[in-house]
Amino acid sequence: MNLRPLLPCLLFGCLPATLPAQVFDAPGGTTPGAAPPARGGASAPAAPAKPIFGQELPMLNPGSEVASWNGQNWNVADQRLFRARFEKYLAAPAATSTGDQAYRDLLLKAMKALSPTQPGGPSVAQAVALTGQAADFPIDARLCDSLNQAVYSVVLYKKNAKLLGEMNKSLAQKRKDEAWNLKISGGPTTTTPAPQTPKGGTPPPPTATQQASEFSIAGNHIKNMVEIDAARVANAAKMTVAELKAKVEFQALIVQFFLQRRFEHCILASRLYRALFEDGDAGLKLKEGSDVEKLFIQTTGVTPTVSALDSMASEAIRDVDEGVQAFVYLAERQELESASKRLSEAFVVGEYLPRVRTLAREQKEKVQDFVRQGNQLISAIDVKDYTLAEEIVETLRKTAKDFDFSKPRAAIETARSASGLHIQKARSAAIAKDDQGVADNIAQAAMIWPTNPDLKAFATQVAAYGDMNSRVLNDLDTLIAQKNYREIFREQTKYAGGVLGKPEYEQKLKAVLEEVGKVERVVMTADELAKAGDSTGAWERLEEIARDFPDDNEVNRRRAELSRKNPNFIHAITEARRHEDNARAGISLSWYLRARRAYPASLFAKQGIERLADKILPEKGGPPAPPADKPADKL
Amino acid sequence: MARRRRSGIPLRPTLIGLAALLLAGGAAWWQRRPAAEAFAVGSQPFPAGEFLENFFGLRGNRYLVQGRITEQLRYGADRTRLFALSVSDAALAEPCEVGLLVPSQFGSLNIQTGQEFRMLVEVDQDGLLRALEISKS
Repeated sequence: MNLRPLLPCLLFGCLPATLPAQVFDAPGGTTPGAAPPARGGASAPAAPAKPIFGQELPMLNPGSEVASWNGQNWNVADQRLFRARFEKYLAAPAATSTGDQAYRDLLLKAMKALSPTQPGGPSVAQAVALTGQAADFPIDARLCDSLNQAVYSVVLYKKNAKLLGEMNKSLAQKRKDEAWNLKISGGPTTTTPAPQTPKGGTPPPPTATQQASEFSIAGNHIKNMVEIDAARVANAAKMTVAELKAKVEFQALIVQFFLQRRFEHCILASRLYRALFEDGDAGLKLKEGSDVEKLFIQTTGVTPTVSALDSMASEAIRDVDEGVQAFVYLAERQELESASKRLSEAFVVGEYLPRVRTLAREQKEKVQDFVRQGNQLISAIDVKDYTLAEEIVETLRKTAKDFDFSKPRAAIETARSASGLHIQKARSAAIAKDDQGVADNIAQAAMIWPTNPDLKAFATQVAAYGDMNSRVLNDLDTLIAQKNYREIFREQTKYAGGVLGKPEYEQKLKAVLEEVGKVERVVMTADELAKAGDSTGAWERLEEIARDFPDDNEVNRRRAELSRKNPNFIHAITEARRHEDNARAGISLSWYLRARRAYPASLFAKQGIERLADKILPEKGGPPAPPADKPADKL
Repeated sequence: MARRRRSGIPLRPTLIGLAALLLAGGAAWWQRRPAAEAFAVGSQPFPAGEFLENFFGLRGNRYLVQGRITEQLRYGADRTRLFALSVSDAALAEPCEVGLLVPSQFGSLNIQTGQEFRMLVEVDQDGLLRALEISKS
């Protein structure tokens, strides 16, 4: 029998939180425990949650191992809760303690007590006594106690049914008496002497009083008979309903055990059911067309009976045994993926079965690391950490010969390609100064692969570029404020890149470069003059440009070098300027004349002489400057 | 013994004539010699080196300066002229040029580049030499 279609039921049956909500669908009856409908209709009653045994059964696609329930999809092997339970099971020691063994022995004895082959036939009392002991073990979770309670309910039903039967029997006798009395009351009574009939004459007709009395007595008998019949029918109905109720409750418990994967309890309960209800009616009282009915009919292909559950439970136990055997064999061959799958399948179905519980920890450890890393791989892919996923895949490839890495590798490669494509687009957008495009593509890339190293690198580049760009612009502002144009000129490539797309800074940089261009031309001219031996002329060129660029290192360096070659001329010029600046035109003129004598081609001297001559004796109009009548200058 | 033949030019008259001629020439030279400049009397020579280094102490003083006009820098509307005057000084390794303002009162005096003059000058407050007396050397 193929149990795989039942896996979702079994899987979800292992969730303790769902079990209290599981309610058996009694045929034709309301769901026990269901909230009564609100009266009045003033407040719209909330739609009752569909019971798991109603219309919302989980369905499994065996091809994809995806279970669908309540609009959600789970991969059976990837379900987080299951993975956690499975890992816990792998790490747990084997349940081979004395207590575990005693528990299993009790269940086995209980099964044997119900066996038809037992001498004296199945003994419900013995089985109940054994299950009562088994209920005390923690692993039982008091399920045996629940079973005993169900048995006790059946006993009570039977006791009640016996009482009702005796009552009906009494009522039947009473009715029989009433019927006799009615018959008698219709004929001559023995208690009333018959009227004397004259010889040869007809008896006198009864009087009206007599007739009325006879009708009254007959009516009373009839009334009593009707009441007795009604009571009997009511009692019979009560017995029928009570029997049905007892059966339904017991069947619900059996199904519950089955879905909880407590197959041993399921078998015990099934056999107790047959022992308790000896009428041969073992059919499950399922609501026609319900999901439970479909589940059993469509997946097992058999009529839903208690016996069917019994056999399915037995089949499950056998299937688990085979799964564990397969696991042991595969684990020895280092085919860890298959081994872990076989064990997980066996665990899903037979988590509480002895074969699974007693599996040695040493054997489980063989696949524990593989399972843990497999779970990490699933988590890594879930959170789109493909870097970690790739590392895990590589590790698993080395440890498990049969590890199928094609799916995770495909997922990783797909994510990497898609994310990389978006990052490339973001780079192109960044080059094109398309900030929106950069943001969009980065968001897309991050959505596909949040921990993509390339994404981080790109983000770092963008941040660094932003920082660098800001720093470049700050440096440019600082250098402009310092009039250190030469530094800007020297690093013009860097600053040209930094100001790209910023018109304000582009204009600043352009102006600076034009200014430095002038300086450069002067420097080149000075160098040529110096090479030609006209060091004084070179000095003059540099001195002139130094007024506008006093901090230009190149100019200052050359000025220093050239000043050593022309000390007299420079001294004369310096003195001339000093006196001119202090409005001492006469002596200044003399120093300019001296400078011209030292270097006849001097522009400074020529211009100074012209300037001072104009000041002393204006060429056009005005009289010569009157002798200054001012206090003596101080040096 | 033969008598040496005497020359035809008499020596004594010749010598007397020459002496008279020299005297006449000397008288003429004396008459025509330049008169000694009165402004030069008692005037100190212009200290060009000191002037350049520290003219403040020279301001308001008058000096006798002899130099050569190297350039006329300006010619004013009132015939005031500004010249560059090259002067020599023992304190200087080579001649130096100084600014010389020739007031309009000397407007009739022909002053040309290259000519040498002796002048009485005054150092004004701005270090400019103003000609007070001028004579050609």
